[in-house]
Formats: sequence, structure tokens, C-alpha cells
Amino acid sequence: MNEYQELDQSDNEEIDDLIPKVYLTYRRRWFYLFVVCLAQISNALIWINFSPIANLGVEYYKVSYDAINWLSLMYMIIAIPFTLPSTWLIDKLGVRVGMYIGVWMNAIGSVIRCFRFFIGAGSLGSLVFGYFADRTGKLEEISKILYTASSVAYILIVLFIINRVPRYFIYFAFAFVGFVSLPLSPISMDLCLECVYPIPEATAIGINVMASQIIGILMVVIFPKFGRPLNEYETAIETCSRDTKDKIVALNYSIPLYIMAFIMVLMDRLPYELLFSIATHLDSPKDLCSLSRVSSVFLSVSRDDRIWKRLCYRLYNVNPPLDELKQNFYNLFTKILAPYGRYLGYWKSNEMYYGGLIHVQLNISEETIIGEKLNVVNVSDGIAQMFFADEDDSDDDGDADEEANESFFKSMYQKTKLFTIDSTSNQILCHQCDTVHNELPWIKTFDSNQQYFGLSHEALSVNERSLLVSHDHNFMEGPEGRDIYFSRNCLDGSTVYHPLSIPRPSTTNADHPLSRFNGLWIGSYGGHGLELIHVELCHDFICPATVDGRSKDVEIISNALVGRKISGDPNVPHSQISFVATHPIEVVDQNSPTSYEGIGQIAHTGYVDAQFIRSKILPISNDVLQVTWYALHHTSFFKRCSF
Amino acid sequence: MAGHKIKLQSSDGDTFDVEVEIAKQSATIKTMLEDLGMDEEEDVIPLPNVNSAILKKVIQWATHHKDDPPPPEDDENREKNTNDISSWDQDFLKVDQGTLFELILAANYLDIKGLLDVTCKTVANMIKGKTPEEIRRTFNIKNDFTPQEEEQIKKENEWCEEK
Repeated sequence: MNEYQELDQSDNEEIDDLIPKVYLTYRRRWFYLFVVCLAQISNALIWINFSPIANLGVEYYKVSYDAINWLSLMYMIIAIPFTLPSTWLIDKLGVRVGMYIGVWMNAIGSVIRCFRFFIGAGSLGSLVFGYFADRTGKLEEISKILYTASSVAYILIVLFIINRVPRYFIYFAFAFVGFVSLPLSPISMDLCLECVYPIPEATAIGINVMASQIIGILMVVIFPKFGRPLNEYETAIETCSRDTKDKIVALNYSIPLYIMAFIMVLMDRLPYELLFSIATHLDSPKDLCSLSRVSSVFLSVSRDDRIWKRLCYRLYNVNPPLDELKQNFYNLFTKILAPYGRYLGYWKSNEMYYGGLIHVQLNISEETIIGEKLNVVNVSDGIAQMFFADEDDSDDDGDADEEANESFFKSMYQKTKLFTIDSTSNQILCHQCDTVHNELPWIKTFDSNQQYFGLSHEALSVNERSLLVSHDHNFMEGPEGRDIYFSRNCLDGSTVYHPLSIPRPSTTNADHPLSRFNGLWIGSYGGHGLELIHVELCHDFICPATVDGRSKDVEIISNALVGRKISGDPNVPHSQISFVATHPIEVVDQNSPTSYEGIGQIAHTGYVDAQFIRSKILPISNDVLQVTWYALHHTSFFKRCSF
Repeated sequence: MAGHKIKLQSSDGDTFDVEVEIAKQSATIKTMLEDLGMDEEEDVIPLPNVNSAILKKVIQWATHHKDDPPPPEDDENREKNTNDISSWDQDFLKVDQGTLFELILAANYLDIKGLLDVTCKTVANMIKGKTPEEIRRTFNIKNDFTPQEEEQIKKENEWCEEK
């Protein structure tokens, strides 16, 4: 019971995020990596082994230039229709089987030949940058560096050629291009995976590969049409047609290159990213809707899923693990959270006297929102409970009866399903009366501008947090000045639910020592059993003037720990104050914990003749409080709630 | 090294003497100084993407904010309150739209997170509560949707209509 777990939904998730998931790196993995590398190398060799020396191939095998080119072109063309089925197979059968099929097919078709500068340096580069990418995880940064470096390398080549430098420099420049541009492929694939997660890996890579093959085909088929013959100097340094008998004309591809460069410039994302950073400052979905209707660029910015991921968390405190998410955040937000997200969170029911704690949560995988009532019961061998349960306390008071020894109670939570909202059919099933409702009527009597907000701790602005819980939601009163609630209308009447924000315990030195008791607690109330109490440090608490029947001056306590009932009983019902710790009691013994003088509320059945009596609040630990009701000669125990 | 100065050169060729600590609010300049080991005394740092007028504004902003704590690490989920622009920044950003956008571009290029944040917030505030047509008019943007597309988007946005 010392293991305190915060109630707030977000906290649990944040804690989950904080616990690092530890993956062991077995040495064996390096061997597997090596094997995968071998497979990859064999693949690359078969694919483009002739392309760099197409001219020689033409001569040696006495075939046409096209025939050689088709060897590599085939790879790309076949890849387009076959990528999806094969990636589907990998996702279906697993990587292992996929690898077997691929490697065997490679092996059957492969004859290992030489490979040249570009690919050689490229393999080295892939190793080096791959290592850094894994170590740092900075995929985006690394790919940006690589893109820049390969641009530099290409510029070097051009400069070297234009300035007619010795040929070896040019070869060096080509090696450099290989070194920095080949690693781009695995790293950008990794980046691509991260971007599109949770789409299955093989599918994502497949689409990635397909796209590059389409570009590849364009380059091989279309670009030669734009090539121009080489000039004298260019002829002198090119090696392609050196050893052939002038059958092949080497071309200058600068114009196609310009075309490619132009395409790249069009894909420049800077304005998009800037618009995106502006859009991340918009917290209102309405503004984003307006944005989407401005122009097509604004439309794509406004649908960026990063924005919606942030809004799901900011407005509704929903931050699901990605693997549970079946759809994107935009859909999660617009289909489920926008219509129903406001019901999420903790609520207090207004059932006559008893009240109760309601938890409404999102079930991501079923796309439903479920409301449950949390009851707390004592499961220890409570002889005292049995004994006092029958006692008539109508003429006494009531929060507790004397002589009960409740120092030991064992609490258990019972969950009762109240309603399920199905976001696909937009129907609300009420479990108690087993009928389908169309809505849970929502009433909000303030701030009409802000239509959307969840009721999580995070989402409520600071000045709204304690107001919502501390004003007494009496069972007969109508909505007050600042109120918010929803109701459920069943056959046997209507229940109203008021939002709760549960304060967090604070242990920093700057705060008042009493704030470490903030939170939701379970208290033993004699014959009434266990009840839920909302405990919070309140400032400027106005102490009741009459305590123990004696009147005194109104006193304002600057720091008071107020315990208020979430679930109540016929004597002191829900929403009412149960106890307040007001003044620390000076202790002689430095080692014993500071106890507090305070007040406690008692009443006759029906909350008749309610009065405050003197009480003493003794912290036994941060999670256990002992409250003694002097006039009753009775002691109650309070235990921190942990679900 | 306090008071140590470097020279920044705008695209118009004007140079500005700026304290190193102030200039280092720009991650771009910081990297140049630290990683490339530029000699602060001698060299002029060219900033070809920023003109004199904008660079002057940027330096003015950076001088005022030189003692600010470093901005927190970016977290997409954290609260981004658009109402917490300091009054100095509000006055500073009372400029025409062209200048504001150039400041955003400069802040982005120079990688000054604080300035980028506050300028983006200012633009976001200009968008808040406006209809699409008002946004277009405010920023002089052309509507490039066909009527069919407009109808389609409107339909997709039905969820956020008043209920």
C-alpha cells in the first residue's frame, strides 16, 4: 500500500514512457547482420554488376547495349509488381522464410563478378553511417548530413570535370559520392519506417523501394532522350567507351540532371515546415478546420498527424501507445475524441447520499468509450464491520461509531459498467437498464468560446481545477455559476456526473508539508464501510465558526488539508467535508511525526443537524492517515487509493 | 570572453558587430564558431539569407533576450500557450506582415528557437478565430481549391461544426 500509483490517467502513461524498455544486444546479432549483409551484397551484385561496364559487356558477349541494360532494368520493373506481394509474404510468413526464399532465388541466379569504386566505397559508407545511426538514433540528422554531403560530392565531380583536373581526383570524387550516398538508402528506409510506424515494416519499405525503382526506370528509359553527346575533353576522361569499338555513344546527362534537380527543389519542404510550426501553436480544432479550407498547402499542413497527436494529448490527455492505434491521430481525434472525448476522466456521481467515483476511459482497440463506477469494499475479516453494519445510528452522529478497531482494513475495488459509447455506430448502451441512448446530455455553464476540452488534470486550466471539485454539488441544486456536468437518464431516473480533478501529492521543499497528502483516499467510516475521500491542501480555508457546539470568531486558515467525500453515506453525504487538518500540534519528541489539530463533520441520518467537532489528524506515513474524532471517542483510518 | 565581438555580414553587405554570447543564441552561428573553429577576431560571418533590416531586428531581439534561460527541449506534447508573449516581444513584433515572415525565415535559418517560437505564435494568433476567407485575406493567399474540393473538405470538417 505504500506503492502509490497516481490516479491520473496521463501519469501512468507518462510513467510507462519513462521506464526504458531494455533490449539486449546479443553478440549473435552481429553474425545475423553479417549474413543479411551478404544477402544484400549478393543482391546488389546480381542487379547492377553489368551496368557500370555495359560497354565491355556488349563487346564481350556480343549482344546489344539494350540487352545489357535490360539486365538491371528488369530488376526494377519486376520489383514494382512483386514488391507488395513479397512484402505481404514477409509480413505474413515472417522475415526468416522471406529471407530464405530471397537468398535462394539470389543464389540460383547469381554469378559473382567484380564490383567497382562506387559500390565498394558505398558499402563502407553504409557500414560507418549505419553504425552511427544505430548508436545515436539521429536518423533525421544523419540523413540530412548525408544528403548535404552527397550534394557536395556531386558538385565536386562537376567542378573537377569542368576544371579538367587529373582524372584520379574525379575517381576519388566518385568514391566519395558512393561513400555518402549509398548509406542514404538504409538510413532513409529506417527514417521512413519511423515516420509511418505502425504500418508493417515490410510494406513500408516495399513502397519505398517501389518509388525508387520508378525513378530508376525513368532515369534509364527517359533520360537518355535528353542526353547530349560529349565534348572533346569529356570524351577524354570518360571510361565507358574506352575499350569498345565505338559502338556506344557516351552521353552528357546534364540536362536530365537539371530536371531531377528541379524536381528536388519543388519538393523542398521548408515553407511546409514553417507553416507546420505555426500550426502547432493552434490549440483549437476549429482554427485547424478553418486552416484546412484556405488553400491546398494549408490543407496538407492542417492534416499533419503530428498536430493531431499533440491535440489528442493536449486536449484529451490521450497518448496511446502507437501499436494499439488502429488509425491515425486525425481520425482518432475527429471520430472519437471530438464527439465523445469530453466524457473522459474521473467523475463524481450525484446519487442520493452515496455519490461515487466514475471513471470514463477510452478503449483504443475497440474504439469505444466506457464508463465504470468504482466501488471500494473491505475484504478483511471485518468483525467490526459485521457488528456495526446493523446498528441504528439515526440518533447518534455518524460518521463513525466508537470502539471500532479499524486499524486494519483491506480494500478491494469493484467495477460496475455503467455505459459504453460505440464511436462507429454513435450509440450509447446503458448497462443498467440495457437500453440504447442517443446521447449523454452535456451541460456547461461557462466559457462558451472553448468548446473542446477534456477533463483531465492537464487539460483543465489551473483556475478551473479545484473549483470544479470544491464547490458542493448538492443533490438538489441546479447548475451553478461555473458548472459542468453530464447526465445519464435511465428508466428509473437521472444521474448527474460532475468532473473531478485529482490533486497530486507534492514533496518538494517549496510546498507546504501537508500537500504531500494530496490525492484520493479510502477512509473507514464504521458501519458505513469504506468511503472515497478527495484530499487536498487548500489555501485560505474559512473555518466553521461553531466547533463542538461552541462559537468563536471566524478564522481563515492559510493552509488547511481538506478531506471531502466523493462517496458518502446517509449521515454525511458525498460532496461534504469530512475532516480538515488546520493547525500543527507542537510536539516535544522530535522524532514523532507532526500531528494536526482539526475538525470533523458529523450529522444525523439525512444530513440533519450537521456539526463540526474537534478532531486530531495523525499522519502515520505519506499513505496512511489516522483521524480521531474526540467527541465520538473514535478513530478512523485513511489509506491512499491505488488502482 | 565577455564583450568579445564578432562581425556578421548581411546579404546587402553591411557588417554588424555583435557580442559572441548574443550571436550564439543562433544555433547556426554557434555551430559555425565552435565546429568550424572560425577566428572570432578576424573573420566575418556571412549571412546571405538575411538582409540588413531583418538582421538588425534579429540582433535587437537577441540582445534583449541574451540573459534568457535556454529554451526547453522540444516536446510536441507540451503546452504551447500562445498568450504568454512578453509585452516587449509584442511591441517588437508590431511590424508589417512582410517583416514578420522574413523574421520567421531568418529565425529558422539562423536557428534561434526563442525567436522562431514567438514569431510563429504571433502568426498563430493572427489565424485564431478567423474564417478561411479571413485568413486568405490576412495573408494574401490564393484559394486554389475547385468548388468540388471545397465541398469535400467542408464535408470532412463537419465534425467540428457547432453542435
